[in-house]
Amino acid sequence: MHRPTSLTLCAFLALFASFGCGSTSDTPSNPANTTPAVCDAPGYHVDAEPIQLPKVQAKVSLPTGEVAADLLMQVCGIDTCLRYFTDDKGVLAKEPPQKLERPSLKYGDGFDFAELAIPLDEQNANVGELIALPLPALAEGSAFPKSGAVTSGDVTLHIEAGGKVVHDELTYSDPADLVLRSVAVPVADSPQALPPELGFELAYGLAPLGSTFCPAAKVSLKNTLNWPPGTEAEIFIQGLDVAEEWAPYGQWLQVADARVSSDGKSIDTTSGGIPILSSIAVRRK
Amino acid sequence: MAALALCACGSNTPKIPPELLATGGCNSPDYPSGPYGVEEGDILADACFQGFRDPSKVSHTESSLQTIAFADYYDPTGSKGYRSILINTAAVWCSACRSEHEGLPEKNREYAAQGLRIVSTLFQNAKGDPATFRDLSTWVDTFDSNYTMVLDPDYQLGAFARADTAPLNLVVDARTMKIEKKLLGDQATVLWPFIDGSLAQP
Repeated sequence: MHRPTSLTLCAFLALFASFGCGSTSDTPSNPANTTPAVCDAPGYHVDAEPIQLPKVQAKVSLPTGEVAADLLMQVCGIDTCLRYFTDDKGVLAKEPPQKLERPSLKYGDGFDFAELAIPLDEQNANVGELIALPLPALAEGSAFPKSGAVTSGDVTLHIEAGGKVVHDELTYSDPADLVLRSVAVPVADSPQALPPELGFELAYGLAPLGSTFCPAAKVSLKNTLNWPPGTEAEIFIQGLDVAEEWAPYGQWLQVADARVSSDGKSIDTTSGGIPILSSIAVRRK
Repeated sequence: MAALALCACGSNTPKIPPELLATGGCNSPDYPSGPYGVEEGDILADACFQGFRDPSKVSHTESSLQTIAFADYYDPTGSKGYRSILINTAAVWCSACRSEHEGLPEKNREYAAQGLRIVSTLFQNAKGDPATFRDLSTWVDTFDSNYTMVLDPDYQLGAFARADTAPLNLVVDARTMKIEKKLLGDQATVLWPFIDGSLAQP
């Protein structure tokens, strides 16, 4: 496992990761005559002192305004995970029994709800009101092809011919779970997971989480905000895995550049791509 | 109360067929007598599980499952070559557990010759339900586990840590079955130096 400890090295690796896995869609794919893409995870682990969080508090509702009761809420450091649920009022109020290293609150389970992470610290453990985002039903999901496009809602992934998709079959042990599902995240109503200072305007929760793509999957998104053709954008993924192989835990990492198509219908990757299926966010350059 | 729960090896493991219990290490007459406890300095009560003693050497099929007990690692005279036991809990939902297990095969290769045995218990799946054979099989495939990996669907180690907290690491003296160290979480910078010190003792 790669564990660079230098932030400088991490920044370099992030830049490297943003260029994908050594193979681009600009080159016609010919698996028989090309060297297979190599997709070693960069690794983003950095050590930090464990901290004692005060009571972690949140109130969670559904997009309909109903209370999100019995929703999985993990307070997870890179060293320890605490598995909690909201009560019948949609409230989480739990004091971690021990110190945690770089904790985040992860809400949503990646099965029924999109999963997003909110970094926590001693001063920021009461995250306020959250909206839990139900994923589409499995029957509405799209099976992953060996290559080509797979679409769910506004999100299309392009899997390169000869590329490799590896699903997290430990988490998603039922093959029926291994279909692409997406749900739009209301950016303005999710400032805890999508910090306004990062300037995101679009975001999506995806499943199945943890699927890896080699080379990185190109992305096309519906241009739901009607950005003008040619608008340049950046695509980020959020690190939801404490192993931090593909993104720093709890943080957003730019993995691709994108541009609004000439017909204005889509926002398409121009370089880089998604190495791992996670929540994604987009901002204009 | 906790000691009572831990003493009940067999009685609270209804998923283990009786015929396997009869031939396994549970209820070993040679195991240290109590009182048992769950804190450092206490004697670990025996418990038995179904799992793979060395997943790297067997097919990951149900027919390869063995009954494995803590008593199997009790080595009062050193005749088995065991000095310390690292008992670990894991759950599929626990990404810290998964991260920890990515490094355990290498640790096992490094420490086995020094007398450390690693026994990890998988207790829940991704949804928080009791772990199944399929979870165990996929787990050892995923992490190339080369140390003892067992199922604990009834969470017999629940007296040590709540099921909503993982992982748990216990360092146990194989000569006495006394708990030397109890750590909640993957505290590698504390755990492995402690094991180094424990193994270095005469």
